[in-house]
This record gives sequence, structure tokens and C-alpha cells, in this order.
Amino acid sequence: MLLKLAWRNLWRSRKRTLITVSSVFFAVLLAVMAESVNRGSHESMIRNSVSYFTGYLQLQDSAYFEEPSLDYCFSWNEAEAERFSLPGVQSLIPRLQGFVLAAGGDRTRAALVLGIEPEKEQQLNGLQDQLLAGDFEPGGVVLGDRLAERLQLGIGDSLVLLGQGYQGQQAAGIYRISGLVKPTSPELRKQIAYLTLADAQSLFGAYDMVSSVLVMPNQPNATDKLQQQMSDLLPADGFVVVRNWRELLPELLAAIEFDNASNRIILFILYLVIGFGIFGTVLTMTLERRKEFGVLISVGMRRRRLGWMALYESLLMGCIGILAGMAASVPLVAWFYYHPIPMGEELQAISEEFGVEPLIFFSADPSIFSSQALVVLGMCLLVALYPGYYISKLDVLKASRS
Amino acid sequence: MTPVLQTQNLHKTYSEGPVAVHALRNINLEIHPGEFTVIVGPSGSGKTTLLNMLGGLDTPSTGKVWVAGTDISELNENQLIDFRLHHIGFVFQAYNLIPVLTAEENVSFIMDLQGRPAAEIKARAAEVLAEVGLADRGKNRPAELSGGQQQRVAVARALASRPQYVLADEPTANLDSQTAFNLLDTMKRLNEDEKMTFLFSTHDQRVIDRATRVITLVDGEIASDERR
Repeated sequence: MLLKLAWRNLWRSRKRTLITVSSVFFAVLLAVMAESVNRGSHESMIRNSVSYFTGYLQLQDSAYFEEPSLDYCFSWNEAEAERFSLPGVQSLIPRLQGFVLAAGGDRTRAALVLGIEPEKEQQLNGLQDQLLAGDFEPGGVVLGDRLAERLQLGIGDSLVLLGQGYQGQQAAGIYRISGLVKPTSPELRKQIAYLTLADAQSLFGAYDMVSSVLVMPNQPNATDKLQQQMSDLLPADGFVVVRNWRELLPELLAAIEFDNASNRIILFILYLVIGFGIFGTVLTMTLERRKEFGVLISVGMRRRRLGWMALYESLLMGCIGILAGMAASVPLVAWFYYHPIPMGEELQAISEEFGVEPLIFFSADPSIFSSQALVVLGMCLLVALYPGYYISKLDVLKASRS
Repeated sequence: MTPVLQTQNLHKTYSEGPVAVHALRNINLEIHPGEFTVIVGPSGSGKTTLLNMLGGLDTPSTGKVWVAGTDISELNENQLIDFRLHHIGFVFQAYNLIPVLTAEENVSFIMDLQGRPAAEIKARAAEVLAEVGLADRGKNRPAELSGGQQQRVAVARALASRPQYVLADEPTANLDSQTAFNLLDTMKRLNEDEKMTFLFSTHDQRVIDRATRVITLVDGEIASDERR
């Protein structure tokens, strides 16, 4: 009966209720879209970073994070790879990384040598698709396009790499440039020199060793569980550890947190505006029924039941708006999730400069919908406190004769 | 016969600043089942205050009010609300129906609050609506009914749960003569057929003419108590 009364009371002033419901509808729609874009951009940043730099998890020497030196390599072979191929692991990508001087003709530049297994990198980040020319091949080096420009070298030219190898050994080699690559990161374009893993191990004298193994899980949201499982497989000496992307990319995490904070402020303002809209309606609905409340209590309705009725009214109003907002936002988000919005030309150049894809991504994480729905519902509950308070303090005699 | 309603040394005093206003003084009365009682008196004589006390809507400054053996002046607010729900029917001057409910739902409302079975509520609502001559208007909302019809629905609502007595505060004040006559005839018939006890506060001579007992209040005291 209370629900029936509440429902019908809502439609006593159809226009007022529709305006309030509309404001909830737009609040939910805007909040969901804003949060979806926010999380979508974060997911894209994380996806880029983990696929090019860190992996969701990474096996590395315990000292390597603080001091990324070749001296902190560790042994990696088929047997190790077999041992860590847990059911939740999609791929294990070994890398050997070191800094060298790259020389060609009379020009020299600092370069980052990355020893890789090209097929695995292709699975990870589509590296082979980013080749401008040539290919990865044993004995060859693939250079970032801008590094090649600076060295004024092209495919087929020779490149000398000179530096320090494992445990102070001299690292020196001459390689034929077998390809040019244009990674999305502008930094990599200026300094990357890809060798096959075996060639890099040979260059640095770090045979059967790697500086890191990137781990890509089947389910990125199960990363923490997988980290624990892999940690359990590690020897107790603690030399090799498993770190997750949050440990490896603290700057990215901080940037995301900062972005989240500013987004929360915008959402808070949006909710505040909508909250006052709902409160205005509830306030009017309460005050204009003072006499009715008095009469209902007079004839035998307890104040608490009357308070429940007022609560249902707020909740019903909120629920209609929320459901309508969800009904509109779910297909919109789904569409943009599969069809990210391309940025304009100017923004495209800027985003490429910062090494992010020139697309506005949307997240379809179900928690976005549920969290917005819960916030608006909570707001309706909060607003419903007013009629409850008003009814609890109502002077029945005065009200029923007003 | 055991009275359905009884008061003992009922006093009600309001404070208006430093001045104490004695709205009721030493009211002692007994109302018996089936009586059709009217409380009359000039404005400010205490009629409404007395009706509020007898309806459990206000508490006396001193004195007691018993309804069917229960001292309602001792009940807390929730107990009083429940007591009103189960024992007292109210008819208001301005009808005070719930605008979003149909006539049938308004009549069922008190029984719904009492938690009676749905089938019983439906049957009783139909019966009482028929008694007040509105069997065919059950699906209409108050806004679709005339003032007289609304007041009949209000009477049906008050009677439906078979309370100990019905308090009616100026029930005919907003009605034209013919409508008022019809309503009073209906209430009188229900009084005689269902032995329902009615207690009115009114200035309306048409109501007074039908009463079996007329209590006159002057300055908060019973000036006369005439049985007919």
C-alpha cells in the first residue's frame, strides 16, 4: 500500500516529477559517460605502458628496479619459462636491455639496446606492424626511425654498438640495419635499437640471461592473484622478484590518481546540482502536503510508515531516472567502447608526441554503471531524510487543521 | 450499560505568554453505545478541544479519558495512533480524503493499515460504499466526486473498520442544504442500523435536530446535557 501511495503521489504533479526524473537521467548519463572516458583513457595509458615497457607483471632481479643495470640480470631458459607458464599466464616475454653508444659514419648517439624475441613482442604490442621497412633478423638491428635519421643511416648500412656488458665486460659489435621501426613512444623512436634476444645476450656477454621477463595475464584484473602465484614459485633466496605494473609505473599511477581526483570534483559538482534539484522537488512535495500528513497520522498512520512512504517517493523518482539513464548510457558506452572517437588533427599530433594513441577510448567496466547508480540512489536516500525529519516533528493538530 | 467513552475531571489549559487559558474545565461525561450526540456551543467554547481529547489527538492537562475501558491519556504517541486506528473513526469538515486513491481505496485505507485480509477489506468497502449510496462511484477519485459525495466517502471510511465511535467535526459545514440533509440522513440511518455511536461538534441546526443528546459547552464547561 505504501508503495502504491508513493507511486501515485509522484504523479500528482506530472510535470514536476518528469523534470526531476529528467535531471536524474541526465546526471546518470553524463556521469557514466564522463567516468567511462576517464577510465577508458586510463586503461589505454596502462595498456600502452604495460605492452611497451613493463607488462602487467615483471620478473626481475630484486635490485634491478632501483638500479636498472646489466649486472642485475638473471638466468632464463626454456625450463624456467615452462615453470612459470601458469594457467593464468597468456605470455612470457623475455628482454635484455642495456645502454650503448651507437655509431654510424661519423655520427654517434646514445641508444637503448633491447634484446627481444620478435614473435612474442608482436603478440604483446604489434611491434612488427610498426616496422616502416625491413624486418627483424638474426645478426641485424632494427632502429627507431628518428635514431636512424640522426645517425643518417638506412637499411643495409652498418651500425657499431659499443658499451659496457654484463659484470664490466666490454660490449662491442657491428650490425647490419635490417629494419626501421616507428614505435608509438616518441622516446623510443629517438633511441631504440632492437636486437634479437640471442644477439643482445652475445653483445653484452650475458648468455642465457635476461634483465626482465614481462608477464601478460589472460585476465588483467586477475594480475594480483597471478603475482602471488608466481611469487610462490620463486626460490626463497629473494634474488628474483615479481613486480606488478603499479610498482613499476609509479608516475603513471600518480597521474591517474590525479586525474581521478579532478574527475571526482567535477562529478561531485554535478551530483550537488542534481541533488539540490531532487531536494527542491521533495521539499515542495513535503510542504504542500502538511495537512495530508496531519490527517493521515490522525486517522491512525504511524509517523514511521509515513516516513517510509516519503522515502519510497524519493527512491522511486531516483530509480526511474537511474534506469532511464542506464538504458541510454549502456548502448552509448558500448558503441564508443568498440568505436573510439578519433581526435582532431591538432590533438592527434599532440597525442602522438606523448606516445598515446590518438583516440578517445571509453571503458565498459560494469562497475562504472553500478557505482553511478549507487551514488544517485544514495543521494535520493539522503534527500529523503528531510521529509522523514519533517514528519517526525509534525504537530498533528496544527497540521490537520491547516 | 457500559459507556463507550468516559471522561473524568477533564481540564485543558493553554499558556499564551504569561496568561493561562482554560479551554476545558472539569468535563465529566459518559457516551453510551448507539448515541447520536452533538456538542454545541459558541466559538471558543472548547468544542474542538474536547473533540481532540476524545479522539486521542490531544492530551488533557489533568483528568482522564477512557475509551472502552482504556485510559487513553496514559498512552504514548504510537500507542495512541494505534488506538485511534483501531477504535475511533474520524470525519473532518474538509473531507480530507487521500486525493490519489479512489473512493474504494480511501474507504479501504484504514482497514489496510489495520492489516486486515484483502478479501474482507474488499467486501466491507463495497458494503459501506453501498450504505452511503456510492456503490457505483468506487473507482472514482475524490476530484471526480462532488463535495457531498466526498463527505459520504469520508463517512464510509470512518465506519468501514467498525470503530467504537465516530467523531465528526463540523461534517456539514462545507455542504449545501440538500447535500447536508442527505448526508445526515445517511449517518442517522447508520447510527440506527449499525448501532454506530456518533459524536459531533457542530453549529448546524440540522445536525442538532437529529441528535439524541445535545451537550452545550460554554467557556470550557458543560452548561447543559440534554437527552432526547
